[in-house]
Amino acid sequence: MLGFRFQPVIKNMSFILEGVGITFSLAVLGFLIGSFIGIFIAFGRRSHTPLLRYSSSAFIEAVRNTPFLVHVYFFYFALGEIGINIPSYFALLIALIIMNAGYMSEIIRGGIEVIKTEQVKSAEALGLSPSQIKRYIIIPPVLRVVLPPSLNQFAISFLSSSLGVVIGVKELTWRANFLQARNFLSLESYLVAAAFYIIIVKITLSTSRFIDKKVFKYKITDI
Amino acid sequence: MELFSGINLKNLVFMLKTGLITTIYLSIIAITIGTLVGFIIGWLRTIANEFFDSIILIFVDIIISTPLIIQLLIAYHLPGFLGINITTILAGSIVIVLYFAANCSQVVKAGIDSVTFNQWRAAKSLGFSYLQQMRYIILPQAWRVMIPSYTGFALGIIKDTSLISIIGVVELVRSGQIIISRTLNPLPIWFIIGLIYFIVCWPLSKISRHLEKKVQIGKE
Repeated sequence: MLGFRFQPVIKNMSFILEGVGITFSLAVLGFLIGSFIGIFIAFGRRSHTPLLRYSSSAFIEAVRNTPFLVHVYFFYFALGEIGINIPSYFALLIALIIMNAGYMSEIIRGGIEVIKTEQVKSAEALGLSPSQIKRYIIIPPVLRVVLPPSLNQFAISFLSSSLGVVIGVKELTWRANFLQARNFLSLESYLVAAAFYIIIVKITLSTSRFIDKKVFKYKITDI
Repeated sequence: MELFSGINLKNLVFMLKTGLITTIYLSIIAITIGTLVGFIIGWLRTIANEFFDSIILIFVDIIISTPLIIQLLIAYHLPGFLGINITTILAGSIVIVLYFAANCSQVVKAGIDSVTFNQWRAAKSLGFSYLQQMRYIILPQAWRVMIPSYTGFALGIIKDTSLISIIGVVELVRSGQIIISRTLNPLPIWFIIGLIYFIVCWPLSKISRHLEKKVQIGKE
């Protein structure tokens, strides 16, 4: 049978777990800051000022139509040439923030488009206070549209942070690569790293599915 | 200007001829074979029983929830482990085809499942055979759900082929790295690489957005 030897990899578990922590910090920070910027870009795209509108859609198109790997190389290697030296961790983080901002802004834009002025007006006519309108009329349908793809994007953020291996960020994939270079157990190291990614992504995606099924169980039908 | 000394005709031709062609070749392989395999897997999942379905789902889940880099690195090391000899470009192609097929199968399954069971029954009561039900009733409705995510993944796979550079296949990103290692001028080269990807992907994304609007016509 195939001679798998997981023992040496398991012995370095604390080394790998540290990598999981760094991957986690990169993915979470990148996603949160990216989403925050994404909100502004989503509103910028609907703005009445042409400059704001065009610059935000140019940003979105530029991010969505170029590979993430090129972003990472650009921030780490290319910017060094004009004197901007960014440590590898922050170069990857900036790339993740920009990637998340680009994709999240489109998701959030989809959420904003769900809000209907007639609904808000009829809620006002029924005598609901502004906070009640937000709580009962605006937030639920927006969350329903935004939450599942956001969690999907969060999972993508995790998977994308694995590109740290190419610029030497000491995250999970880098550590797996380091272990395989040290003890030549290539498949075993990568499989252990893959198992961690599967666990993290599985949790994220099943949360998304759970929210879709349990929290938003009532279907909204368009009139 | 010294900053742009790396940009000359020879390097550009190398990037386009060696790099871009390989990227396009990998993308086309991934999209054509991946769509075919993904369609079959997604369709199998709709007719399979629960046990068979969950076995397929395990494989699909493993592929879509691990980073493409890890899959590529495993594919790079696996042939040596098994004692077989394949080229890196073949290993990379297999990984990217499987990756696209897994994503595509999810899209196909979701699309076919989105058509309510009543439609199947109505079609059956009209005397349609299975193929006719698929062809005239189910797929036209399933397209609407499938097309937006399918085009999204298809565009994504063109960008994801850049990761194959990590295992040493000379595609667009790798060709840029080769030029940079010669000219030591990373900024303009990475900018041009990004621009080439943009020129390839942007029209496609415009077309896909047009297609998305088109399939939404007639939807209530």
